[in-house]
Amino acid sequence: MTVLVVVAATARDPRFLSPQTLDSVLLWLPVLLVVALGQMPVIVTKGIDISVGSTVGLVAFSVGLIGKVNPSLPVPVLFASGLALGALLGSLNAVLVAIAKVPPVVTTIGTLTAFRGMAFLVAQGKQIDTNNVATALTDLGRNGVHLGPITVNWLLWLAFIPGALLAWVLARSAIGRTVYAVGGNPVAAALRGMDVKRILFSVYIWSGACAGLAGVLYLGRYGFVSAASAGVNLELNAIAAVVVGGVPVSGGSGSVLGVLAGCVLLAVVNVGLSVLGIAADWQLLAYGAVVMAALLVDAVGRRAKESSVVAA
Amino acid sequence: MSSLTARGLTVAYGGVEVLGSVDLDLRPGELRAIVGENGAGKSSLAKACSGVVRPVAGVIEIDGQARFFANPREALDAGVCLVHQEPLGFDDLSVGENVCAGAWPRKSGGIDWKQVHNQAAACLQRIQFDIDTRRRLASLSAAERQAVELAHGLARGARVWFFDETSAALTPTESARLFAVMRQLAAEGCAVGFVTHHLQEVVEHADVITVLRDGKLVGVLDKGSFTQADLVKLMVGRSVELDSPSAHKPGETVLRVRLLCVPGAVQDVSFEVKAGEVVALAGLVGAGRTDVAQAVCGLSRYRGEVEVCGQDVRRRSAAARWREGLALVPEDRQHQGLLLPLSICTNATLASLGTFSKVGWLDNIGIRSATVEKGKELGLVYQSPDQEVRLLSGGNQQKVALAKALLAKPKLLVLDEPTRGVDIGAKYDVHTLVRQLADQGVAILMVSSDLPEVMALAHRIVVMRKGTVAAEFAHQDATPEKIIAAASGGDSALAS
Repeated sequence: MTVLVVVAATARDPRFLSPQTLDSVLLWLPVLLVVALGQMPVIVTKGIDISVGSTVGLVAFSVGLIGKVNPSLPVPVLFASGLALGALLGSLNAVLVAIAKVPPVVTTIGTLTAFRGMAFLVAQGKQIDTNNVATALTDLGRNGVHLGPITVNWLLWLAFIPGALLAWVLARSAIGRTVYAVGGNPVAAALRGMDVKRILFSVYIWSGACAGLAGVLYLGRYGFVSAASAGVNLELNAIAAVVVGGVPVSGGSGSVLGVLAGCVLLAVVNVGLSVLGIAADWQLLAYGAVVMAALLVDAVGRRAKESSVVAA
Repeated sequence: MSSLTARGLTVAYGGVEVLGSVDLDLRPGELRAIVGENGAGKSSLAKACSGVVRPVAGVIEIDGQARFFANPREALDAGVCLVHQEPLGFDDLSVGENVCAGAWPRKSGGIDWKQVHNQAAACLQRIQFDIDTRRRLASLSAAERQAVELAHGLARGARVWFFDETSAALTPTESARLFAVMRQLAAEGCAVGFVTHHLQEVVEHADVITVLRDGKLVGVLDKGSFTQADLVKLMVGRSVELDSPSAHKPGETVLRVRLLCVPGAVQDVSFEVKAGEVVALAGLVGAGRTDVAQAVCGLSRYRGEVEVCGQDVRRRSAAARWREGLALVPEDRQHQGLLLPLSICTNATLASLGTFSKVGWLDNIGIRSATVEKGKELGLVYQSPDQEVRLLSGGNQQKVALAKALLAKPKLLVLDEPTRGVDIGAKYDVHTLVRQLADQGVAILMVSSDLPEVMALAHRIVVMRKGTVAAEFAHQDATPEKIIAAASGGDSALAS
């Protein structure tokens, strides 16, 4: 699908396949990727975390504020505080879903609004500007590893850390396999004595922590945070990326590589629409159409696979 | 050597007792069959012994030690494993992971994968199954999935086994293989109990048979000490109720089903129901009776003809069929028949809102009075018509489901297990109502696993087995023994 979009776009305008475009894609990717990586195990357990967009906004602003007040703080401390704050916000979702048994959609729609509200309270009408943010942090987006004509920015490398971790945990560890088991057949999981509650708890904290990390990446990439707009609609993009990446909303399966592919597709489309000079008014509609087309291809493919299994 | 002794096990669901003070002994080296009609409490007994449901009374001893199981995990830890009718398991995990699920061997830094696959392969080999443990579970056949389920029990070190109608989904060859495995487990000193409907299996494989009826233990038979006919008599054997159907005055044909096929469930089923007639679909669970009822009501795809009042209704949706005088009371009232959190009024008039609306607005006064009137007719016990249906007892819920169907003024009423899980009083009320409706000329198609109910209500009885019609009896020719024999494919000679 991604290849298809790239080929179509290049055919229309050869400029598309330029290092500049690639750099923009690579810069667009980290925040979305990390949020989607957080979202993925939640969806595998048949859940959903809609609150992450606001988590990103709140963490980005809070960490920006911490950096503004203490300009001497080293960058790793900023990342640690972002992770910790995200995990704390995620644990609120975890308690509501796993222990109070509130449906995930309801829980996270509630916290989506609540976290955005907190961001407004923290901001008190102010914004975080580039000159408030440590250059060591914003440099992570400007510099990186040069591979020929393109630059893989440091933010993306940072995003690969949770990606590699999640890939290993889901594929190899007991807790990861139990995530698939709980999503695939919750009744059987309980009958076989698995701790369903602990798994649900863990995935929402993970989602929150990832959104926290994404908040710091957001700060590093833009260097500018407004409490009203940072991370808005990001949760929908992340969910779309996960589903486009082959994780069914009904849970139970999916891979980290698929999620990566889903994010790349969304990033390419998003950047591509601007490069191709599609009028701004049309971009959102075109973006939505591509997402729906990807989902349709996926659904048709899945149905074909299922019917072949039945026939066998 | 392992054994299980249960004394006075009692199980109740929502206040309705399904198992009353039953004893069970599983001895090492023995295959014990647990038999009974649908609803006799066979599965409940197996579940109560393996921690899936909690008995309200009774004692369970494993190897002479009293045990209490709060959940299946505790039972597994004590060595008691229940193999379910539908294999459980995780489609997207590997065979090896499924076998070891819940107790994956660990080593520092994660799962010991080598150990997972070795252990799984060893367990599968013990029951003579050679399955690549790296395959996804979803790619396995029903029999192989069953083997994975068994291997899971072996991996957990199970010594006391229950099989709950495990052979139902298997072909004869596969099921022979399963019984060979059970025999092997017994030979290794395990205690094995199996629940089944199929009398042939009981005669062939069981060393001892526990017979249940209406949640009570009615007999323990030793191999060779009985005939299939004795077994049937013991399973059915309650005093024949004196009730019989209302006078049979059939009118015009209301429902004609010809060569009905539902893929995977029903094959070439034909029958008719006339006005004023009650026709029962009898048979075992899984024989395709509900599939026939659902096809008639337009709830599933089918081939063949379904005619209502002389009109082929193939192209009519379920809703259109309701409008033309077909009403269904489904078998699962909690999920299919009623909207539990809504009021009695809302539920009762759900299928007939058209008659209660004036220029698009609902006539709430009319709805209330119609509900109250119908409630009185059915002997519904309630506090207010605005009461939530979930607060009613099973019998009263069923009456609301019936009221919903009756307010639609049906010409053909399809009842699927109309008295399952309701108390005796409500059952009597429902039976009286069915007779009255037949007298008023309503055609009634009833699916029922309750033989006395079939005998008491049906003018004609269509017995289904494995998706086909096995026999059809007029009321005066039918006996419970004949019906059971036809339904379970037993020796037809014993029917006479």
